[in-house]
Amino acid sequence: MTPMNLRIRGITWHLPRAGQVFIIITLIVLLAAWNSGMNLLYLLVGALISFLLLSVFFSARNLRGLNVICEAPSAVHRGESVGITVRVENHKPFLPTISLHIELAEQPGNSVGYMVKLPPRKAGVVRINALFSKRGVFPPPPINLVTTFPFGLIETRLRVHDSAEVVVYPRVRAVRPAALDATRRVGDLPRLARGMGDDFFSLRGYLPGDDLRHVAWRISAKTDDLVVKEMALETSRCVLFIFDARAREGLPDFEERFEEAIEMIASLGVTMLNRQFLVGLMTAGEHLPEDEGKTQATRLLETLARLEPEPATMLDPFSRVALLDESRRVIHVYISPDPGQWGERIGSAHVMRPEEVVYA
Amino acid sequence: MRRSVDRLLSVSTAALLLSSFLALASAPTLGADIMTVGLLLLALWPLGEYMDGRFTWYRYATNGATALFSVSLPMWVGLFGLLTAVIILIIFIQAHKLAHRKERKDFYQLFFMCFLLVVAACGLGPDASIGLVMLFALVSAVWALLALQVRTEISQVGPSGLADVIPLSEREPEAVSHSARLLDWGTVRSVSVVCIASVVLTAGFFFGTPRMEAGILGRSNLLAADEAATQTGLSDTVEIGQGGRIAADHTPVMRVEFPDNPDGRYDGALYWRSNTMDTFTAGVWERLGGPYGIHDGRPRAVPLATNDPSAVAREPTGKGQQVRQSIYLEDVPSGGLPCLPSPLRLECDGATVNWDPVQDGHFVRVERRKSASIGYQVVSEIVNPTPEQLRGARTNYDRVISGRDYFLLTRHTLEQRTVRLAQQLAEGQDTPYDKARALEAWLGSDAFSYTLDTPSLPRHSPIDAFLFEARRGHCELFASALALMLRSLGIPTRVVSGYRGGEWSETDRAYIVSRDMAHLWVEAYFLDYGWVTFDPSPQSGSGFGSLLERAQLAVSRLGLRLRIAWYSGVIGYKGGFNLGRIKDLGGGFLTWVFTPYTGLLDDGGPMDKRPGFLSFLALPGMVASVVLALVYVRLKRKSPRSSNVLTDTQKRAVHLLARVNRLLKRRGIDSRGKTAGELLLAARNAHLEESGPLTEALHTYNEARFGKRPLDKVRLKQLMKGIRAVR
Repeated sequence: MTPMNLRIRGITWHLPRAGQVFIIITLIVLLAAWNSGMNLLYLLVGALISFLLLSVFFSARNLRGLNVICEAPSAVHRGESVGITVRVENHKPFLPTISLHIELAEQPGNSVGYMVKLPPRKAGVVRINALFSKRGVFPPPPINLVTTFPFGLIETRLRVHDSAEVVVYPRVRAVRPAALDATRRVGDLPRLARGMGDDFFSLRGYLPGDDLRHVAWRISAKTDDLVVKEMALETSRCVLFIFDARAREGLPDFEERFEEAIEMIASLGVTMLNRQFLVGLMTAGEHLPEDEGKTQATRLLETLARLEPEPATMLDPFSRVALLDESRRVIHVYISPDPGQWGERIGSAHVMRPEEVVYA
Repeated sequence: MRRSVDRLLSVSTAALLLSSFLALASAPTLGADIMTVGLLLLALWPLGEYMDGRFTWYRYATNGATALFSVSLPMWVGLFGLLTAVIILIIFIQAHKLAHRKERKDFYQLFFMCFLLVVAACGLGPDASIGLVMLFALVSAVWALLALQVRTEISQVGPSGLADVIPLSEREPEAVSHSARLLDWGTVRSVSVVCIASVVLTAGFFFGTPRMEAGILGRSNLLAADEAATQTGLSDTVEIGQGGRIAADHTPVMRVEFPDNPDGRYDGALYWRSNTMDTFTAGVWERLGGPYGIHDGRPRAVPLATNDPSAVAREPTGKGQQVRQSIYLEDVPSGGLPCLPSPLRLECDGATVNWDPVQDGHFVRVERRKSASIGYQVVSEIVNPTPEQLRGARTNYDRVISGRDYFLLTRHTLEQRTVRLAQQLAEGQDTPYDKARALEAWLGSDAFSYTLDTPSLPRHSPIDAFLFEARRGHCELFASALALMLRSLGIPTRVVSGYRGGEWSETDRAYIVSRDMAHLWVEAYFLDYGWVTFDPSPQSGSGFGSLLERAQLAVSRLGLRLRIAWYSGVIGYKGGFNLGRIKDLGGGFLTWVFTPYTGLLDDGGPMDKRPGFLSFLALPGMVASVVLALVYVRLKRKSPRSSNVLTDTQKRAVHLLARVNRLLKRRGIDSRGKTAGELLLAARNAHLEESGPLTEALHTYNEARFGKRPLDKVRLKQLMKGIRAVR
């Protein structure tokens, strides 16, 4: 027998086999009552019909007064299993909810939790695992509340959506230090300027007041004169990823390459941020200014999580770089999902190839 | 958890099983003895489950018994009839299920068997207790189905699938009860509500279910009783002479209303005739004769043909007053239905009736009935000749009554001393009527006393012993004495059994006849006037002295009212919509709707027959209703309601966010797909505000929407006001 479904206002009623047999029995008894004219049989028919109607009514009532809260981490990485806590609260003052299944809406019939009875003013907690295989912003998986109360003749489902969001970041992979150097090499390195950074700038004669720790003793010994090392400005620790996220029609595997590029930016960016770099991101439509620290990592990943291919008519971000303020010394790293652009020279830099990044 | 649910399932299933046997016990043909079978089955249950699974031979044994029973099934049918054989089969299936371990489908089958027993009981003409049994069965079924469903689901999910239950205020399951136990006051409350609702709906559907003419599938009395079972204080024979004490049974058995009488009362003598007996042999009265060949010129009762098997009628003689009675009877006798003399018409609900062919057409017998008790409407023709008329009646019986019947009606076995006594008592009385009255008065005098504690009398001459030695006894002795003594004087006489009297109930506006009012009296035949009643028995003292007796009487009267209410309200219910009328109604309705428009084609007809204004409105009204309904459905489909389960706080938070979004939209900020934080950032980027109401609103939204903080109406109003003030 094929199951019957009826949907009204988000509630679905399903007639299982027991209910179908019950209806057939009711019809047979009704026929017997009509044939015999016996009022006692009409009484039995009334009882059977009342059971069916009460099944529909009370199963829906059983699901009333329930509040479902899905507690999920606000952000996860792609491919990472997430533990979601489903909390079903019974706000009814006197009546319990009896025989309640919790199931994932995408897997009907597969219960992830069952409550024999959820007393009034109590909550039931079930933990489920969810896996987000794509980056982006998603709601928690919709939940079905299912009950067959009171007679098991009719199955009632109430689908519950939570408008909370789970932001799925791109996967972040550890990058080898050599890859960081590579970024420096491919990036457009501006002229070094004297500063208080870690990189060597030049040698000069000692002047009174110089920090003795900066004296280059070996060279001083050779020259018989005190020589100090001058360090370059920290601008070389400032990296701006310039990502051409414009859609490419006709490019095969564009989506896959797009995702790879985003993963590359995420992996490099997070690694650099962990090493106290300042990292920023620019696309045709987005600009995340350079900053440092964990907050910036979150901002970067959020931006990357929500990034979608941009219209091809937008201004080329590689050109847009020129509009930026040059007063700060920033390493520009150019990334594109289009293999045709890989290796393309842009100033003193070139568009990065994926193979230039070595993951740990 | 599982064990408590198993226990609940066992108890509720046992209750359902018991209720099915109680239903059978309410049928007079089976009685309370059937309960022993039910109790045996209950005892079999734990034993069977123990044996099953422990001994491999057990299944072979039970399967063998099943095969044997299957083979013997035709024998049961032949011995007991089809319906009883089916009941036996159902009980066997129940026993088989109980004798083994049960899975879900076994329980469902067991429940179904219990249901079938209740259906079978309905077909056996149960008494009013079936109503209480059905209620008990309904409550048991609710609990049993619930317990079975929960047990099945626990089995499917396993212990690891049970959710943790914590107090509402807790966030983490510290105070955990692993899905609270099923049976507690909360569940009892819920199930009680379900039961009450089920009873109410059952009553509603009972009255509202459309009826049909019985027999649409061929047989209309498929479930009628195979025989009119009798269980009565009245019988076809009366045995005189047995000594002993007769217990006075005040159980009401009959209620009689006189619907045509203004105050409901009846002035005449209350003799409810059921049966006559005309032959007295060896201390036993029985009926051998009838109809009697009496040709005295009186108009005979001519039965009229009726198409209704539940009604009989005959032509009135026109010599008496017609009296209508409405009678509810619990003990249906094998003889005639008790009523006032000379019934003209009788209609009986739920039974097939016919004139008794033997008893001069003055008694109506039940041939088939569908319940233990019945209700019927009777119109009797009461002929009361005056004493003067009776004195003037002819006495040439031997010329008018056939020899055989005259012999039958005057035969007696009295001793000579008794005959002489009768003659002595009748000496000086000229007419048979005066003689009968004289003997009646003598028997009713202080020389005799009425008692239920009767002495033992010799079998072959009990009346003689009664008249000369005992001089005390009950109505059977008095009536027999008078009848035989009159017979010895050549007056055709017989005895009549039935009920005498009735206690008037102002509450019911009816006469209540109880079992202890069963009575035997005398009818003597007077040419030209027929059978005339004589009752020599003194009125028995039927007072209820003790408080307990009065209380018992009150309870039994209440029980009678409830049974009558059950009978008239359920068994005898004739209301409801008959589906057969659909055809007539349909045709009439269509005529009513379309006549105004077809009538416009001609001159409309005479003024008093032209359709009214409402008729014109009917068709457009129906069309408009259909169109409106379709529009409503379409509009509802376009705006599907959210299936979110949101609390009031969350709903207010959503409302707040909507207001914020409207504000941002007016400022040119697209809010689609943005979280609260992003909205705030966008607002700041647009220099909307640095802090203040918008920030507060978005923070509050975030916390309220995701359950961290409540948001009441007052707070919502404040925030809305703040947003409106944002420039």
